[in-house]
Amino acid sequence: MKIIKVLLAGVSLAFLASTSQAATSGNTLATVDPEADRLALQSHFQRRFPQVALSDYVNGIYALDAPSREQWQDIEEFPPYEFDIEEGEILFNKTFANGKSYADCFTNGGIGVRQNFPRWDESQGKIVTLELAINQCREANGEKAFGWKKGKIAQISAYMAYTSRDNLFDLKIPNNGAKAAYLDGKQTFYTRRGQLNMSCANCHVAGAYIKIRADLPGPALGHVTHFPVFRSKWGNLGTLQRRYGGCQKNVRGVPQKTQGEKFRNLEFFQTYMSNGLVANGPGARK
Amino acid sequence: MAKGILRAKAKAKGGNTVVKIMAKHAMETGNRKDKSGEKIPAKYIQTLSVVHNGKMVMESNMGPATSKNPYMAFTFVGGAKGDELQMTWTENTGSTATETAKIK
Amino acid sequence: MKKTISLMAALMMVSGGVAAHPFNEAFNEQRAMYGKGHSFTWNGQTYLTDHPEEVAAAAEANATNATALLVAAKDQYAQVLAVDFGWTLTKGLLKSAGKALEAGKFQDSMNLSAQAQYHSRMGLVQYEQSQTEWIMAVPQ
Repeated sequence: MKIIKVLLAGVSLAFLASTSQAATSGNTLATVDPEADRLALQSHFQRRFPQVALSDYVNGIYALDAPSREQWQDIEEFPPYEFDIEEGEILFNKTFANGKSYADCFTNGGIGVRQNFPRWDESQGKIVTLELAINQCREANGEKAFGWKKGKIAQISAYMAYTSRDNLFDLKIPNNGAKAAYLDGKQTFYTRRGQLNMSCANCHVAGAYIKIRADLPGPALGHVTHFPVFRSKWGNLGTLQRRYGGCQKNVRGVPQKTQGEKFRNLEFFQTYMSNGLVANGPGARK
Repeated sequence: MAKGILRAKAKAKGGNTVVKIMAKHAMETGNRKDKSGEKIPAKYIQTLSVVHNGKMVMESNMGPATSKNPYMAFTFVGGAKGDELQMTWTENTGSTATETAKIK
Repeated sequence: MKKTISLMAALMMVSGGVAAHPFNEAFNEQRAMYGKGHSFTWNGQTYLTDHPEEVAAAAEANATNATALLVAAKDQYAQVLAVDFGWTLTKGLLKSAGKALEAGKFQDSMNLSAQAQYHSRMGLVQYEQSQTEWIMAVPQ
């Protein structure tokens, strides 16, 4: 059935609904099925790359492309994020002015907890990412919040990720609030935006391992497990949401707010898609 | 034990030793300006040399053109597991230090 | 894939239903082949391959018109930002339009405002269409 893509002033949604194809994977709170989504994404990539083991997807494009994998393995011998982990550990263990520390804000003293984030926080009624939890911890203890994209927050996140290496992601969707956040994130991921009219999925689902100028986009499966990341292009460590903003700018769209509702929900969706894979941060990428 | 600025990995294999060193150093050129417009003073590694059994096996002249946290890898003939390498660095400020690493 | 609509066409769709060769496709084809300001016929009526913004920018180049177009463009930009669908180049265009206005280059200013407003209008179209289209990209 041909779908007529025309904006009708004021009549658009009703008109399109009557002529559009019925979606088999849900796009409403009642019909969305996160587990089905996750398995569909896995089988999508397994069909395209039958030789690649599921667990290897945590290494992104290096799981799919042999030449860049070789270069990356060389780099990993002396990872560029090594100093950031050391700095992160020092920052993590530093007590606040009031005598408390990050260990007081996290379960297990904040060690080996990366795989629990992002999580639905019922009392706040929103998704909490690791970086948000770090800054909330700071503010709750009378300290000023860090910037969201790089520097100290990334270093602390790197240390916490490092202590969580090899822990399995197994995010839960406990109620409708969490489910709505998941759905919102899913929508953002598949929505075209910016002057170049591209969605995350264009490059990372359909376009994974297909050259875009001189780069090969990594697959959406396992996309977020290795963050924060030392990106060669940046020459330093940065958070996932720093990259979100950068990607949106890459398609000439004004980026959405860092650690705002949209990005937190997007991170929740993306991490849920990586359930069953291990945390392997911090990572090094081109 | 105080950590130096050098992180080294040295591996003996087939009569050669492969050495990889990363230096934790800002490598400030002296041309960058801080927020108030003042130039950040130059502070960079000038030389890095590695000695094994009294013989120099690698000498590198870095300088302000080398970027932050310089990483180098090289191979030299000889060396055995358990041997020690002396790595000496000098800075434009006059600072200098020697650190050691064991070949594995 | 750009989706460009003229207000006239939108009204036509509401009243007359959908034709086999939709207006916006015909518009895009004609514009791609002949550029702006070219006239073509569709469903018995004559149209120009101009965006509404370009039609507005063809008005007399004076301070009043230029100011009005800049205000309208800024307004539309605010609207598209409010739904998170702004484009990155728009801000620069608005800034240049303002500078041209100050320098008395009214036609330049109007052209830049027209371009900026087009960006923002397209962003809004993108936003509207994305609401129902996104689900089609999800692998099953």
